[in-house]
Amino acid sequence: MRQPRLWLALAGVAAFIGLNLLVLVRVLDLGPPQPPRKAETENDDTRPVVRVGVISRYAPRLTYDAYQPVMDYLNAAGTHRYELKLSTSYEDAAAQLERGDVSASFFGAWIYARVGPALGLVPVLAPRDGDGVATARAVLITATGSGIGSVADLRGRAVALASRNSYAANWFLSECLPGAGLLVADLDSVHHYSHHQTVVYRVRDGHHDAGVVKEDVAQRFDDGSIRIVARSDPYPGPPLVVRGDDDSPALAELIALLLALDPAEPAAARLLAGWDNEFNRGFARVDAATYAQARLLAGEVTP
Amino acid sequence: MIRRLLPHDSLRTRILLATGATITLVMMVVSWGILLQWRRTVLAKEQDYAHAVVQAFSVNALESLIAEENDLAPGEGSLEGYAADFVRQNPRLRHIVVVDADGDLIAGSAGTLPASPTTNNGGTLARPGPVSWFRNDGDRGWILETELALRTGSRHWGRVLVGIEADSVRRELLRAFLLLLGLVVAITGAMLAVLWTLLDRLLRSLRDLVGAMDRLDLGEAGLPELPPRADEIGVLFRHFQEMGQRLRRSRRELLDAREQVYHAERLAAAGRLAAGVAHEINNPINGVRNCIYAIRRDPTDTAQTLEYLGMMDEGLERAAAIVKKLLGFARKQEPARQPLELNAAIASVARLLSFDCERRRVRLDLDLAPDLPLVTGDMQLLQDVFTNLLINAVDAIGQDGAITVTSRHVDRQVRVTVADDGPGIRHEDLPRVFDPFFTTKAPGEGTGLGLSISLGIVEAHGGRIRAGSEPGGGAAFIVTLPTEDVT
Ligand SMILES: Nc1ncnc2c1ncn2[C@@H]1O[C@H](COP(=O)(O)OP(=O)(O)OP(=O)(O)O)[C@@H](O)[C@H]1O
Ligand SMILES: [Mg+2]
Repeated sequence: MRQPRLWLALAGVAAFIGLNLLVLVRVLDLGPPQPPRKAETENDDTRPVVRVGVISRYAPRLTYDAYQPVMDYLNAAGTHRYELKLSTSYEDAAAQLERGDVSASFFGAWIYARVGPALGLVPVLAPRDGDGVATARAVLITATGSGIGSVADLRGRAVALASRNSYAANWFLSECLPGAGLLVADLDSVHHYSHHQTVVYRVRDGHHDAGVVKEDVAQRFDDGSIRIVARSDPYPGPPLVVRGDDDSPALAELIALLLALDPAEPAAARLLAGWDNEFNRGFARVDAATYAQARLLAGEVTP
Repeated sequence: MIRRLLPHDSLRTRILLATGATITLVMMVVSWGILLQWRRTVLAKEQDYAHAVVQAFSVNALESLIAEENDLAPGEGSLEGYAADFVRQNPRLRHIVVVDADGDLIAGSAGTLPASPTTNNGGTLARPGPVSWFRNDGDRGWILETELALRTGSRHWGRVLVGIEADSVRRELLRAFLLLLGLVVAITGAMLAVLWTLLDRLLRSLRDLVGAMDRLDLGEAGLPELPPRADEIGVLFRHFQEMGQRLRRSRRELLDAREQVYHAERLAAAGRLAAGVAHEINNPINGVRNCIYAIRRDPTDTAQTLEYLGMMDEGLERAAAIVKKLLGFARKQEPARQPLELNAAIASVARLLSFDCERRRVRLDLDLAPDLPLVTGDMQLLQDVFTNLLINAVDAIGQDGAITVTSRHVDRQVRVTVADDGPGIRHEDLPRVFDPFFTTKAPGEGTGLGLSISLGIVEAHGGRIRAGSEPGGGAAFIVTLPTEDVT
């Protein structure tokens, strides 16, 4: 009677200590909560490299976010390895084209119109809209209650503009303002912002009396807080430019692949849906003539 | 010490063991549940922190990698400085490492690339978000490592690997464990102590009650004292007191009833005796009167007169014998009541009869229990009883035989058996042997009063006498008398 009970008590104490030790070990062993998955080896892409230039006006990462999907598509569909090459200025971009560092480069519409022909660059593609090339307009906006009714009312006012190299900013400075008989000096101030959206915000909150942006950006603010005062003629979108003498098969493949994207096809539509707004309807073929009007406005530089 | 506090088979030990085990088990399970849940929360919090750190750092790391590849402004080593700053601002960071897509170290606050399961072959990470794991890094203790792949679209730039010390987490977990364990032990201990005290009081009360039961003496005037209490134990005490009172009352009633029976029996015995005496003495008296009548009719016939006188003498002698025996019984109407040893009474009777037995070659064996309790009664009368029984046995045997006298203590009674190997008692005589004047002996040899008187004496002592016999197998007379402590 006495022995079994004593053993029982001892077994109980031993079980208590043992179980607690087990729990302690379990609690203190942080271990991998889930074992990290074994890394996959990246297949080293040994195909020849084709570089595509982009003039990066914003943070380089944002530029990558916008253009990398296009490269991913080309990589998957083409026989080359396509890589982005960023540059901070059109001069760099032109030099890269000249040196052959890049096979093609995305230019802004205005900067191409201004310097492209002189550098021997040829536009081959531009964002598509329906059957033709997408066109944009620049608009002069003001806050709804500003009292500015026409361009002429801008005398002595502060104006916000998009980037110096943007079509919108240059349209305002070289066509809109002179058209109303005003000079930049007649304005209180002119300020450039890198994003069209920032211009709208600054005008809306009263930092500037008026601003100039692309029309589609202005249309996104349909809450009645801004009003359009003037509108430009339509101008074509930003082209992909190449050296006029480049007839390499790599470039031909690049152009063919981009032109092949037809938003009417469901597969292509699905792919395009994930791309940046600017070119999510695909690309259309362009040539120098498409930018004739723009070249006039830009005051084309002659060599 | 433990044995004294917890005797191994006491009720208290059993209750304490069972309760202690149950409480401990329940508390343990509950506290483990709490601990594991809390651990999960803490680890999740740590991982969230690690993810936040790695994500915050990855923005700059990616910018730097992109800038570097495109030969953009931020120069060589700026990421290095940024990493160093980051580690300075987050004291729990052990290292920050950035590797490019080929697995080459680009920048890092740690001198060497820490071995991590995902950096084995410089491959890309399978998933987009941060991945964390805990690792025991030898001398550097436990580290929470988090890795984030740097991507733009499907382009893989490299990885950021951040190590955060996790020893403080383990210390915190250990503290929580010890705290909960201490709580379990303390609470269990406290509950057992309370239980021990309560049980101690309960058991002490029970011991008091048992003591009182042992002290209970129905002969004494008072009942054992018990402390008054208001609880269930008090109820037990009260009922015990009431039971004691009821016992004493019924004992008194029993004694009264026995006194009455005793009186009635004595009256009945006296009546039976008187009737027998009247009858037995009447016979010789009638004989004498017949003789006197015959002598009166012819007083001259001397021969006949002498014969009648002889017959008258014989009859009177018989009457005198009867009277003498009765006188012996009646000499002491009120028997003495004193404690006496029955064995001594038997032994002295046996001594007196030993000569007679020897003469008739009858062996007399005494088998007397040594621990025989005292009985209360009259030594003289009880000796008469055994004398009667032994003489009857010797008479029945006649020549050559054995008598065994046995005394035993059985159930608060003393039992004396007188057994012989004589002819026994006939079956039809058995119910009558105790009747006055029943005898099978020749006229003039036995009066038939011996057993009758013995019965009267034994019953007057509150005892019983029985006769038993197997024909041809001897006879046995069994006398039972109450022991002294009961009367
Ligand atoms: N031990 C015995 N064995 C056989 N019969 C017995 C024994 N004891 C008694 N009896 C029978 O019981 C009868 C009655 O016995 P009891 O002692 O009363 O009278 P008694 O012995 O006949 O006469 P008394 O005792 O007056 O001399 C005896 O006559 C005998 O028949
Ligand atoms: Mg007799």
